[in-house]
Amino acid sequence: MSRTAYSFLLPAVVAIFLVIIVPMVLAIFITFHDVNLVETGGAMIPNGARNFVTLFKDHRFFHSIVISLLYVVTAVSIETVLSVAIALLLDRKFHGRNLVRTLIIIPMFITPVVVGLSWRMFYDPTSGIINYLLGVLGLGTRHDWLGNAAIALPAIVLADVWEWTPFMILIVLAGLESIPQELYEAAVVDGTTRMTAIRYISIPLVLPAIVVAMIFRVVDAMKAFDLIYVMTKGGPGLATETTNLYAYTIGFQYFRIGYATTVALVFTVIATAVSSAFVSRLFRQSRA
Amino acid sequence: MREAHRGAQGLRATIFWLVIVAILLFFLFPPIWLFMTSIKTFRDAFAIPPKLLFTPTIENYLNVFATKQIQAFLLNSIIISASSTAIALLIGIPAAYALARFEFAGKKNLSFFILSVRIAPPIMTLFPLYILFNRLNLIGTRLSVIVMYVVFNLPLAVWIMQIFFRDISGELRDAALIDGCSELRVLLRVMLPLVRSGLSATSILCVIQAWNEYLLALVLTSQKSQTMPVAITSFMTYSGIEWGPISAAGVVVMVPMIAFGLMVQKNLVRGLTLGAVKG
Repeated sequence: MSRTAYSFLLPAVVAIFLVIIVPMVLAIFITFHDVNLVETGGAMIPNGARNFVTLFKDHRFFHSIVISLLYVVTAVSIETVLSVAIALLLDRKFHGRNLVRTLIIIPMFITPVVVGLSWRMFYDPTSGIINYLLGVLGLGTRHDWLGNAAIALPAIVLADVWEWTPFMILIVLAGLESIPQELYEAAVVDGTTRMTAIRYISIPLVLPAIVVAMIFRVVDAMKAFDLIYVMTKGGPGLATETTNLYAYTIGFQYFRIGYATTVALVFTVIATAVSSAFVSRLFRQSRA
Repeated sequence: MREAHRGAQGLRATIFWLVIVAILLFFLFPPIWLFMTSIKTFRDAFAIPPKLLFTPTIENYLNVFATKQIQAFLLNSIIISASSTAIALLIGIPAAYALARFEFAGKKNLSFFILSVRIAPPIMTLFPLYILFNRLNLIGTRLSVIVMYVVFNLPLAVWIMQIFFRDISGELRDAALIDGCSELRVLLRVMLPLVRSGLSATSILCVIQAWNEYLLALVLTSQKSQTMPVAITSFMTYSGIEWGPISAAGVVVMVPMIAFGLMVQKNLVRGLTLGAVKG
């Protein structure tokens, strides 16, 4: 029986081994080499630990880590708060409830590149709808959203929030719906207000679902590339350059694959450490 | 007293609906606006104040999709997402079945090994794979992207199908096995027809992931094998963006995925959380 099981699993395991594990090992090997696609045509020239020495002196790398973490933390926290609030609002009986639920999840299916382009169109300083609406409200029409280093990152985070809050709403709502109705009925008998019921019944019981949603969002936000690349390419200056974008730039604009791999590897280690610390903390909180 | 109470309730209902409308407006405005831009003439698209009433035109769609090149990119997207999904299922289904139905040593570890792909950042494997594919002369082929998408879709295929296989009663399998069927035959003839809805949900989610992917396609495709997301960004030039054609292309890329996504609503929560939350 277990022989059949292993043979059923073999293709999947081999595929993952070849496309994930082998490259990972190769990546570690590459970090000790100078690999330039243009100058040496991709030949691997050993250079000891020089890539790592460069990395620890590279301000742009550390800057990109800060931007990545800022992006993940702000986007996921806003998405969490917003999605819990909206899910609580939708978790009641009203006419058209199913339609609202259906419409609200549309953003998460849209190709991120298209989402990025749409928002870029809205943010356009001269013809964008956002500046127009602000102008109507008398708040000025000359904001250069994506061209201003101070607001470009929040502007991208807003697009991320737009696309992925629906994903979290969907999961939190599913969690809310699985709470047995009897609990609320008992609370009503005891004379509890809706707010108290939310605070002491809904939130604690839906916490595991919120945690799952947050974990998926953190993992994916760490990988974010398309939205940022399409909206600002990391600019203006380095204001929105996350480590993913920086690694991509080193690799495919400067063609320094050796160093790009080092940046990606170190970032992966940091990202994994941060996410697992975060995940285990969340787990402990949701259990307590 | 009763009048006042009813009045307060009416007010609360009004506020509730206003909030619902505001939320819907926020989440639906961008795709609606994109669609409206796509059916505007060049001049209407840039009018300030923005035109809400205008004569629609299909000019942008004709302009974009009349070119052979875009048709080829669209075909690339279709071929790449369809074949990567098919292969992911082909590899993933037996694995899912084994994990759901068999007891064997190392089951948990194997299961998490597959899940770990979901966490692995593509950028990590991208550079070494670029070098490998380069040596194998695979850069710029559809095959290189398909291979990547197959593997990045595997956790989804394995973990969700596993849940659906678990829902089936074990007696059916035992009966079939007594009749002398091999395990593979049982899987193909008895089990698969029973998980049809799970299968369609899984394949649709895989298609959406592959269709929407950008980074790997950007690096691994060339002029010949480009997918639509990569092609769309090539409309952006430093001299300016042609919003009309871009919006038209964007709508064509976006609409089928929205339709697909809404089709699998029932299994969406389970699918997207790989079974961690029951929908």
